[in-house]
This record gives sequence, structure tokens and C-alpha cells, in this order.
Amino acid sequence: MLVATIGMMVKDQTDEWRVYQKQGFNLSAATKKRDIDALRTEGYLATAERLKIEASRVEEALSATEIKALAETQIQALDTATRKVELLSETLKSKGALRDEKRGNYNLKVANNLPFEDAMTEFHEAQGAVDAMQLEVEEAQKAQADVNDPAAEVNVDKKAELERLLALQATLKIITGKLDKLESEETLLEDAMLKEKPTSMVSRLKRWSMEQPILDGFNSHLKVHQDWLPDLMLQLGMTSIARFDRCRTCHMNADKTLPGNLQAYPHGNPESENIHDWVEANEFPHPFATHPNTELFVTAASPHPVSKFGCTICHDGQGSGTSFGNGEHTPNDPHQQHEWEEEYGYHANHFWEYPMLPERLQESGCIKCHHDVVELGQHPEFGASAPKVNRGFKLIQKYGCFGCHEIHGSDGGVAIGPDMRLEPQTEAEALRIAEDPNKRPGLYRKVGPSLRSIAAKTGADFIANWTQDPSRFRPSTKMPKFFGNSNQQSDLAKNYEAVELAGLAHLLTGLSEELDMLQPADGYQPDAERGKMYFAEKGCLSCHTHAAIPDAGDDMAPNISDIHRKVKRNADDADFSDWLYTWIREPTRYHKRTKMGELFYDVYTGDEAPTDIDPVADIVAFLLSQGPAETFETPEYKDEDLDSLTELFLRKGRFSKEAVEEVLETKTFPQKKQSIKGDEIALATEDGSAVADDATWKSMKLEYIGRKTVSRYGCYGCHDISGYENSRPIGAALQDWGRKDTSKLGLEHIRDFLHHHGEPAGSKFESTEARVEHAIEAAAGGGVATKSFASKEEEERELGAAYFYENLVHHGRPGFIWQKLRDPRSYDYLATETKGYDEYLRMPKFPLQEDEIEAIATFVLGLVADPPSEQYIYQPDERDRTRIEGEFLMAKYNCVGCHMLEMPEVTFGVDEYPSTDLTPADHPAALDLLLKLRHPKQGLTGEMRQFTIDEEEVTLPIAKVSGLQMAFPDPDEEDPAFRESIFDSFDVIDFGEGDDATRLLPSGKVIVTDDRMVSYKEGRGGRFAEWLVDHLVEEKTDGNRQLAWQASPPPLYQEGIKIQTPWLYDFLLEPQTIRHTTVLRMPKFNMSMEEARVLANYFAAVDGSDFPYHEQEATSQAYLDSQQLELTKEGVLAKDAGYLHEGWKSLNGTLCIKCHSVGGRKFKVSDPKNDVQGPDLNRVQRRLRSDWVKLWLYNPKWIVPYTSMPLNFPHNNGAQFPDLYNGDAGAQVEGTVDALLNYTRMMEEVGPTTYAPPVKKESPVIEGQTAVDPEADGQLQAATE
Amino acid sequence: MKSLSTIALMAMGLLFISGCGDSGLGGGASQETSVVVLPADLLTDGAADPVEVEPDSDDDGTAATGNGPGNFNGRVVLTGTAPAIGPIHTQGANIKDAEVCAAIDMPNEKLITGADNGVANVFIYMQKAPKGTPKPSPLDEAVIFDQKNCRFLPHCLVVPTGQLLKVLSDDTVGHNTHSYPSRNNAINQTVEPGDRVGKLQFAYKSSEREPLRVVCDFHSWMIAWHLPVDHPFAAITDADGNFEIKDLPPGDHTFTVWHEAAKGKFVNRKLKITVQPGQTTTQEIGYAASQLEL
Repeated sequence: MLVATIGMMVKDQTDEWRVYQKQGFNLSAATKKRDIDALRTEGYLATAERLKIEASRVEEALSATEIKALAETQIQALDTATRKVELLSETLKSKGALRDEKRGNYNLKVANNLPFEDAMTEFHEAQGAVDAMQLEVEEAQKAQADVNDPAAEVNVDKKAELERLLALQATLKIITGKLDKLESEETLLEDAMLKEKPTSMVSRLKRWSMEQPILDGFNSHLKVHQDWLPDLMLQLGMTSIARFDRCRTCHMNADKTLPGNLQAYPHGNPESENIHDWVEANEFPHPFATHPNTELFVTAASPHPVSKFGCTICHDGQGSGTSFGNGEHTPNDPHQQHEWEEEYGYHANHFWEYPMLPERLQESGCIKCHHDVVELGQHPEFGASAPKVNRGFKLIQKYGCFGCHEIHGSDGGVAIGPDMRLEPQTEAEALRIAEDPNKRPGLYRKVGPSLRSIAAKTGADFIANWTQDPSRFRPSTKMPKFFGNSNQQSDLAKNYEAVELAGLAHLLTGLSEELDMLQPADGYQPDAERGKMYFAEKGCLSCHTHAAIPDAGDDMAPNISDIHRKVKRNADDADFSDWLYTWIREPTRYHKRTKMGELFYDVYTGDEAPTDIDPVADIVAFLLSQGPAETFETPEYKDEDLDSLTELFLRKGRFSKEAVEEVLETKTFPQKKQSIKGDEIALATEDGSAVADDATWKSMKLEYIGRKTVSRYGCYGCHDISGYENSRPIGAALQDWGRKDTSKLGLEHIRDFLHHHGEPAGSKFESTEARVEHAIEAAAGGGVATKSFASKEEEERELGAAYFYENLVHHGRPGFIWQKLRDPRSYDYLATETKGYDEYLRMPKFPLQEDEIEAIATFVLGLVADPPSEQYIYQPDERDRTRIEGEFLMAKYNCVGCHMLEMPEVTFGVDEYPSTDLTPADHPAALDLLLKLRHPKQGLTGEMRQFTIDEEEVTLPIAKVSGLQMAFPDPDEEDPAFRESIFDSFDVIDFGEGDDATRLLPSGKVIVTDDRMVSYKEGRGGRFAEWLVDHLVEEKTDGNRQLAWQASPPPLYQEGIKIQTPWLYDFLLEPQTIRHTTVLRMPKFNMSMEEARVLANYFAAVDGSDFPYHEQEATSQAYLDSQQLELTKEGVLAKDAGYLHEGWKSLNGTLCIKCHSVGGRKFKVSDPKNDVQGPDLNRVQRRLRSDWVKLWLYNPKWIVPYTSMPLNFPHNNGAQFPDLYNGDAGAQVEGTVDALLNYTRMMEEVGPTTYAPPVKKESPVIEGQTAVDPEADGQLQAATE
Repeated sequence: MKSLSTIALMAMGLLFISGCGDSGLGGGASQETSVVVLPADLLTDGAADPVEVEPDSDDDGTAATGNGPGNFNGRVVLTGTAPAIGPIHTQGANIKDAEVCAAIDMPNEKLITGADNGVANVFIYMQKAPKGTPKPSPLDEAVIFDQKNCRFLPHCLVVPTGQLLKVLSDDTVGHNTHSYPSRNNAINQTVEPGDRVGKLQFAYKSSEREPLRVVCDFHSWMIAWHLPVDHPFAAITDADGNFEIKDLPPGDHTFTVWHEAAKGKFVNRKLKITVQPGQTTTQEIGYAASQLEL
């Protein structure tokens, strides 16, 4: 037993974690030593030395005899006085107690209805004694204070000396204070270091002994560090227990940060084993490294402090383990696994259900609490915190996986990730859900186009050809491939495939409903060339791409370069397609749930042509002009295969072989049409009679096969097909797939398959297994470092494949899903031999890259019905919720395709800070308002960097600012100091802190030369706008980039401070023309009222404005009255003048009308092509927030640097309207703004008004400044001669 | 006559401002009538001291053998047939503020050719002056940028950085002056009718790489071009296409030839010339009609 006990002790003492902790303490001491050394710089030592000398000088002065004697007397006197105060205070306390007792007596007597006069007298006496004592105490306190007060009476004779003494004492205090402060950090560090690594023998012995058996039970420094998480339950089999995470026992520096949230132990992979080398390189291996993202995790200031969240809620693994093995670490790839096996004796443990997530799948843990996912991809503070899982989420949205695989968002009431169900497909279903309080409708639309009226759009030949292999017609399509996959290579499958395709095309054209199509006006001659211009400029390219306009476009919507080949053209005009015209003009007419917006390509009378122009007809002409329509090859099928497939399906429909043969033989289905619910309806007749002719019978059989095909492959999961509105998704639901029982994964012969196959044609590997073997060998051979991988990307990709492959071989979920998405039918390998054709696997092959597959896997593996308690679930407040929902919609409708939400950001070395000088035209109040609406941002990052400028090395501070790039480096310029990128700032940017800061106001220029450039980061959104601006600069605005921006979709930068939420709601649902300068219009998107509400609120939510609504003060009578009163008092408003009325005059004066329609008057067009026409002003009152309008009038460039709107009311020029507000320009701005915001009221009360300022008396002629007269040249010549 | 003499005084200063000797108003060829070429000095306001510019030893192309600066002059000549362009609008046209703006036929100043197909209003300037070139100092008096009958006067202007510009208007309708600089802060401010005082004043802080447009957004045809420079080597051709740039340090130089009607605005992005010490280099700059974009 003793031996066993000793054996246990030895084992316990050699636990892995102890080894790590000891090393960890050594490491910590070493870093402290480094920090102490760093503190002991020359400057530090010199300061300390200087302070010590100063202190000793003062001490010396204090020790001079006279002063010393005085000091001693003072100390004595102070002592006596203090004691007296203390004594008297004590007496006061006891007298107080006596007084309280008397009060008690009195109260008792009163309460008991006894005579109380005596008690009252006693109380007053006691109170008198207290008061007298109080006076004595105060006197003593004053005397105490007087001891050290040179001005006090007692000190008259020693005043000067005393002052000197006090001054010396004060100086000494300051110096020693400084010295202490200087030394304290060092002392603290030293103390801490000595604690961890003592130098004295005694301490070392003490520390050593605390590490010894038995003694270590008494609060040893070596101990298991436990994060106890009672509310974060852990599911173990059937029971759930509180979570204990002991990870920090070894990962002891995980939360160690330095000021500025820097990692105290940045992770690295140092080759050396010596901790001093790590310290020197400031690179630390696991488990000693700090968490890589302390901004988001672990630290107390982060949203996920380790004390509340622990580790395993995100990482999984066994939190209670205190060894590498027991922690259930998971390697990121087989190469790492081999390393771990050698170093730590690693082996996978099948008995722990939740091994740690490998690094590549780490983000799947995020969905447990972040059910919306959106915030993981875009967050104002943390940016994209989990980009991979967010990418997976977006890919699922793009490919519409939920069409077949329900992603419910919950399972038995337990929330699991996002709810991605399809929306109700019929009104009846929507109504049913609306009436059931326990049900919520799905919100996702089917991702494919509607096939309800497909016959209007294209022919049966195209349908069959396309479905057989969609990427053959359009390589970039997202439609997956249902045919010709790895389990369809047999002759039987090929024959049946041809029948299915024919049946499908036959059915879809047969079911196709009539479409009421639109047409251009009779006789309209479309112009393809003009159509191309509209196609480029009117917004099509914000979502689509087209080969005729390269370098533009977005993959939000299909590449339509080849649309001319497939679209059905008009019978009487092969150059036109009514379907295409209808589709572009009014997309919802063809496809009710399309996301394609209605772009308001209204017919108009242009200045280029005398007749009306129909842009849509022109666009149709352009698209069709790219080539002729085509007939598409379709796979030919044999009649016997049609019969045999019909037979196969009928047999499945529980008809006997004989019955089926009879049906086929007699062309008679044994039931009447109305009594059949299934697909067999296609074969039946109304009265159950035989079909007379072969052609009809064949058509019926084809329809039957078509129906079978649609329901077998679940086409309706993505497409709206007449008659399939209520069909259910055909795939396995994905909620809780992340915990799917691995024994239920249908692995079949996949290992064999990957041994022989698995790589696409043209791959240099003959099988996936060979590929993986190669990857592992290459990694073992040194990876990229030894060029056994060509690049880091290749290494990452190949080792990723190796990870999934190995995982699949070991029956893991990640491996299964990886191969399922790579080649879904491969699980049928050698299995089709024993299956009927109808039992073949049916999941189509999606055009996914392996990194996309990994992202999708990360998402799906995160769908687990294992939510932590409510408090851990991310629950955004109203503003954040709106932001998250808004972000989702921004992506859904591709708002970011056109609109830039965040400006590009440039980082550069700055020597001369860009600045803005205020001019006499600027209103002081305007600056205040600007700073209120746009809080200053700091331009300097605090970093310094070296640059080579003009062949000299210079160190410059680094600035980071965002703005719209308005000038680009000249490609012909060779001198980097002359290659300039110039940005217009939209922000107030300070360079430096406090009063010394240099300030750049919006519209200020930031010029960055190539030799100072560090990096450029694209803005968020607005790709189309940027393209369009470049295009217009070339084509329309004669090189003027500002005008080009005015013609393009505006950046929605701080839109929330600008627009009124209710107006935006209306606008989103029914967009109107706002700007006359733009070449395109805001489309009308097919969005719900709820979506419009969220999007309208979104901007107020993100921009920190009043949310979601705001008070429009300008319309309140109280405000208007106070303006009237105040301005009258100030003499700005004459007694009989009305505040709003003067504003109304100003608004209807000579300025606004120059560019705007206002007050019932229309803007006068001089040159339709070049005139700058501003928005009609009647909309302002509903559309804009008053602070914004005011700042806009004060100085428009401070809001939009590229605007053409001038500064109309310069501060130094109120005299242009001398009779309004007594020529006070500031009041003119306020009055005009308020008139704008009370527009309707003024129109009703005053009506249309024209105002012209009074004709001035002769202006004083200033010498030399008469108008320059072109005719004066001759005279000038004479004069100079 | 008082005003005339002041114009003459102004002219002396403005010659330098314009960087070329043309009408005496720095106006390029705002004027269709004949112009006078006055002696101009490019570095100081009036006095014609010789300029001493340290030859740049780093510049391989600089011949440092001379003992004095040289000049560069010549003409910009349109080759081919100049298309005729009529006025932007004629007197009495139905346009905004017609009583003022349509009081005259509005000349289209985009392309003005003079004697022997010389092209007016072409900017010829160095992008970067040789090292050591002193910056021209601004005049004490503000340079006047005027407008009359909804037309900017002058149409083209070279102006040193830091030089105060004063915007005036002789019209009874309001204007706005809107500049589109690349490297300077933009101006966009209304100018009240008949402002002869010049409430709007500004200076360009930085030089520009190309002339910048100045427009009035109220009257879309109104346009002028300003080129702020931080060196003296810039000129605008006069009505007959002549220009002269004085006191260049000897050696090889690269000039930019820019005109508003040229496609992409550059007649020649890199015109290379060599200046011999104390001599004048004369060059005729061809401007093909096919380069025009009207």
C-alpha cells in the first residue's frame, strides 16, 4: 500500500500541468526581468539619480540647526494640540451620548403619556453641555490648525522661518512622491518576479517546499485553475452538468494583456526550447501564448470574459481535462496530428462526444449563441469577427440549400442558428400561419427563377439542354448539376436520364401559364446602341454582368451575356422579345417573388431624338443584338426507355407487373382522373377510358415522367412551379446536423471510391487518397518553407483536404459533409449495383470550390440544439437588432451593390497635416452644428514608420483616414512623389489631440503620394457607383468626377442623420424621383412592408441618430414663437415682420429658383444636357431632418464634398437680401430652413410668392475694379503705347 | 480715363499672373479683338532682374555650362481645318436670366483661333520646376476674376499659389463661383448681383497638375480655367497662339501643353525642349484638328 501510495504521489507530481505551470512561472519571471531591464533605461536612471540628489539637498537644508529646532518644536506643538483635540472630541462624544439618553427618556414619557416637563429640562441641560463642548472642540481644532499656519497669531515671531520650513517639507514630499512613483513600477515588477523566482535561499526553499507532495495541498502556487460556469451547462449523455473549464491551468497566459489591449504573450512558433529566446523574440508557443483575439475574447473588458464564458463553450473539448490528451485537443490537419502524436502521444478519443473543434472549423461554435449570424460578418466595432461561418451562411443563401434541406432555426422549441425556412408559397398557407400564434412564417424566397410561365420565356429544347448540364450554357451559374454525375455513368442511367429530361421539358412547358405581356408602343424602333448605354448606366450592372461591358458588374444576378441565345423571340420580329421587354419593365409580372427591382425605365422624350424613347425596348434590342436565337440539342431517348421507366415508377406506385403491362399495352389507366392525387394523374383520362392515339399516350407518359422527375429531384425547392406550391422539401433537415449521430451517416463505400477516384478530370492526382498522401508527405517535408508546396494557399488547401479526408475515413461529420458537397453521388459508389434507378442518390452537384465547402461545413456543423442558458444567447437591443436585420436586407437586395456605406480608407505617412481654414463666409454656428453631427475622428494612428522620400530615409507618423478618391496617380508619371491619390474627406478629422490638433473639415483634400502610401482599403459597397463614375467621367462629364458622382447612386454615408425615417419607409416601398442629376433611378424592390420598416430604421440605428423617429422641432409652434420673439428682441426681425414669412420670401427669392423648382415655380431649363437641377424643394419637409438641412444650407460641401449646391448665405454677405432679417445671414439660414420645413403650411397660408431683393443704390465703385470690358482692349493698347 | 489707367496698372501686375503676354489681362483670349503683347517678367512684379537659378546638379539632362537663363517661345498652331463653332446662344435667346445673360451673343470660348490658325488659350507649363527655382511671390493686390453678361472674365488664368483672387460680378443677376480643383479645397459660393467689392476672395494654397475648371452652376455655359502654379514657368497663348516663357535655366525641360478642347485635354503631355544659355528656343507646337473634341 505504501508503494502504491508513493507511486500515486510520484504520478501526481509529474502531471503534465505541473510541468507547464512551473515553466509558465519561469517564463513570467523572465518577461518581468525583461520589462525591468526595459524600465532601467538611461533616462530612467538619470531621472532617479537627479531626484535622489534633489531630495538629499532638501533633507540637508532641513537638518540645519535652526530649522531642525523649529521643526522639533512644531512637531511637539502639533502633537500637544492634536492630543487636546482628540481628548475633547472624546468628551464631546460622551456628552452627546448623555444627551441622546435624555432625549430617549423624554420620548418615552411622551409616548407613555407621562408628565414630561422634567425630562425636557434635563434634555435641554444635556444639550447645553454638548453645545458648550462643541465650541471647545472647535477652538482646539483651530489651535491645531494654527500650529503650522505662518499667518496665525501664535506664529508672529517665527513667521518667516516657519514658512521656509513648510516649503522645504512640501518640496521634499513632492520629490519623494516622484521618486516613489518612478520606482514603484519597478518595485512591483521586481516583487512579482521575486515571488515567482525568488533569489534568497529561504524564499526558494519555501517555494520549493510548497511544490512538494502533501504540502502542495495548502494553497500552493501550483494549482489547477478552474473556471466554474454553473449557468453554462454541459450535456453529458442524458444529463446536464455545470461546466468546469480547467484549460487555464496550462494556458495560464490566455488572458494576459498589456495596456492598449496588446497581447502580453503573442503567439508564435519559436524553434528554440529556451524560454529566454522566446522572451527575446516576443514569440510564445502554446500553451503559454495569450489568446489571439483579446479584443473579443477572454479579457474582462471583452464581450466574452473567460470568467463568464470559460473556454469550452466556444472551443468544445473536455474542459475538466488537465493534460493534453484529456483536454481532447483536435489537430487542424493530419500533419499536425502526426506532430502531436510524436510530441504529446496524441490519439483521438472516440468516447468524448465533443472533442475540441479544429482551428479550421472553430467559428462553427459562434452560432450557438449568435443565431442571426449576420453580426458575425459585419459589426461596427468588431468588423467581421467570424468571416468563415458568415461566408457559409451567405453561400447557403445563394445556393438555396434550404429549398430541399429545412433549416428551421429551432428544434422542439430549442433555438438553433438562423431560421432559413422558405416563405409560405400560397396565400392560404400564409393565412394559416398568421392565425396560429405558435407559428412563424419562413422568410426566404426560392432562389431560382419562377417556371410558372416558362413557355413565354424559352423553349422545351433549352429547358432539357440546360437542365442536363447548366454550366454548359452559363459557366457561372449557381444551378447545380442533376445529371451525368458519378452514379449516372451506366448506359441504363444515361438512357433514363434522356427520358427524364424530355419528360421535364414536356411537363414544364405543358404546365406553363399564359403571361400577359407588355409591348413597346406600336412602330417603335429600338436602338441597340442606345440600349447598350442604358444597360450600362441604368443600373443593370449593379447586379448582372455582360461580356459586352467588361470590367463591370456583380455576381449577385446571372451573367446575361448569352441571354440572346435562349430567350424566345417574337414570332413576327426575330430582333425583339416581348418576354424580355416585360421582364425588364415589370419583373414581378413574370416572377412574383423576384428580387429584381423595377428600375423605372420610363418612356421619355429625350433631347437626342424627336420622338419618345423607350429605354427598355432599346435594352432588349441591345441584348438580342449580341447574336441569333438558337435551337438547343437535347438528349435523344428511346420509346422503350420511356416505357420501361414508366413501368419502374408505376411498379413503385404499387402496381403489379401484370397491371403495369396492361396499362402500357392498352393505354388505359385503371382509375379516373379525378380520383387520383399522385403523379399518375398524368396517365389517366376523365372517364377512365383508353387513350386513342399513340401520340397522345406518349405525351401523357412523358408528362408522367416529368412529374416524377420534378418531385424526385425537388425542382420546386428552388423554382415556383404551377401545381407544386404545397410540396415539401425533399432533403434531410439540417437543424442539429452538427450533432447528427455519426452512425447514421451513409458512408457506404466512400473510402473505396476515394482510393480509386475522387479528383476531377485533369487533376494531377489519380485519387483523393493519393492527393492526401502527397499533402501529408509534402507537409512532413517542410511545407512551403522547403517548396514542397508552391504557396501558402496550396498548403492550406491541400492540408484542408487531408483533414477532411482523414475525418471522413474516421466517420466524422465534417468529412462526410465535405465529400457530400464535393461529389454528392460518390456515396453511391458500388452501391447502384444493388439499387433500383429510382433509389439512386439524388442530391445534385453544386459548383462549389473547396474553400466554399469548408465555409458551408463550418456553418452546418454549428447547427446544434445545444444552446447555453438565455443570458448567454446574444440578445441585441432594439438598435442593434435593427442594424443586424438591416444588414441582412442590405445584402438581400444588394443595396451595397450601388451604394457605398463606408468610404475607402487610406493609410499613409504624413508630414504636413492636411487642414482646413475657415473663411469669412463660414458661420460660427455652422461649425458647432457640424461637430454635433459629425464627431471628429482621429487621423493619426500613433504609429511611426520609415519612408524613403526623395532618396532620404525619414520617419513619419502614420495617418489613417477615409474619403472618396477623386484623383488617381498618373500612370505616366515616374516620380513617386508626383503620383498622387487624392481623397475628399467626408469627416471632421483631427491630427493630434487637444488644442494643438490640426483639423481637416469635410471636403478637405487628403493628398497621398505613392512614396508615402502604406495601404488602401476599398470602401464598403458601391462598386457599381464607382464603376459608373469612371464611365461617366469618360463619356459624359468631360472629366469632371464631382459631376459624375452627382449622376451616380450616392454613398449612404451617415444617411441616418439626414433622412426622416417615415419618409424613407414610404420611399423604399414607392421610390420617387429625387435627384434630377442622376442617370438612373432608385429601383422599386419587391420588399414587404416589414422589410421596408427595418431598412428605414436601419440608418437611424447605425448612425446614432434619434431612433427610429425624431422630433422635427421646426414644425412646433412653440419653437417658431420663440424664434420670432428672440429675433425681434435682437432687432433682427422688424416688429411687424413674421419669422416664417421672411424665410418663405428668402426661399422664394432669386437664389433657390436658379436650380430648384420651388413654391409652385418650375426650374427654368436652359440646356437640358448640362444644367444642374437640384431636387424639388417641396419634398424637404417630409424627407430631411432639420439639423441636417440647416448644416446643408450653412455649408453644403461639409456634407457632400462633390455637390454643386453653393454656399448661398455666406456669413459675411447677409446684404444680398438686406431687407430679410435685417441682413443677418445666420438668421436668413435659419428662416429659410424653417420655411422649407413648414413648406405645406406656408403654401397654404401665404401661397406662391416671388421675392426679389430691393434694387441697391449705386454700388460704391472701388478703384480699379470696374468690370473688365472686352471692348476695352483697343483702348488699353492705346493707353499702354 | 481713370479707370483705363488703373486697368493698365492692373495689367502690369496681371501679366505675371497670367504667365503670358497676351491681352494684358491675364485673360488668355477672352477677347476676340486684337491683343497687345507687353513685356512681362515672370518672377517679380514688374522689375526685370535676371533670374539666377541654380542648375540642378542631380538632373542629368541639365547642361550646366551656360552663364545665364534662356527663353522659350513659340506658337500653338492648329493643323487641318478648324471647325467653325457658333455662339453658345444668341442675343435674346429664351434662357434663364435672359435679360442679362442673353443680352449678347455668347461666344463659345472652347476653341479660339487667330491669325494663321494660332490657337488661343492653350496652357504651356512645367509640371515641376527644376530644383532651386524660387517660388514666385504673390502680388499685394488681389487678382480680379470678374463676370459680365454671364461670362467669366478672364476665361483662362495662371495664378501663383498664395495669390489672393477676388471674385466680382457686373451682372444684375446672382451667380455662383464653383471651382473644381484636385489638390486645393473647392470653392462654391454665391456672388450677389453687382458685387464690385468682392466678398468672395480666396487663394490657391497648392499648385495643380492641370488647369482646373471654374463654373457657375446657375448658368451651365459659364466656364473658366485656372492654373495655380508654384513656379514661374507657365504661360497661356494669346489670341494668335503665341506664348513666351522667360528666364529658364539652361538644359532640358519638359512642358505640358494643355487645351480645353483637346481630347483628354492634353495637346502634348510631354513636350521636351532644350534651352541654351542666354538664348531663346523657339518652337511651333502642332495641334492636329483630329485631336479636337468639341
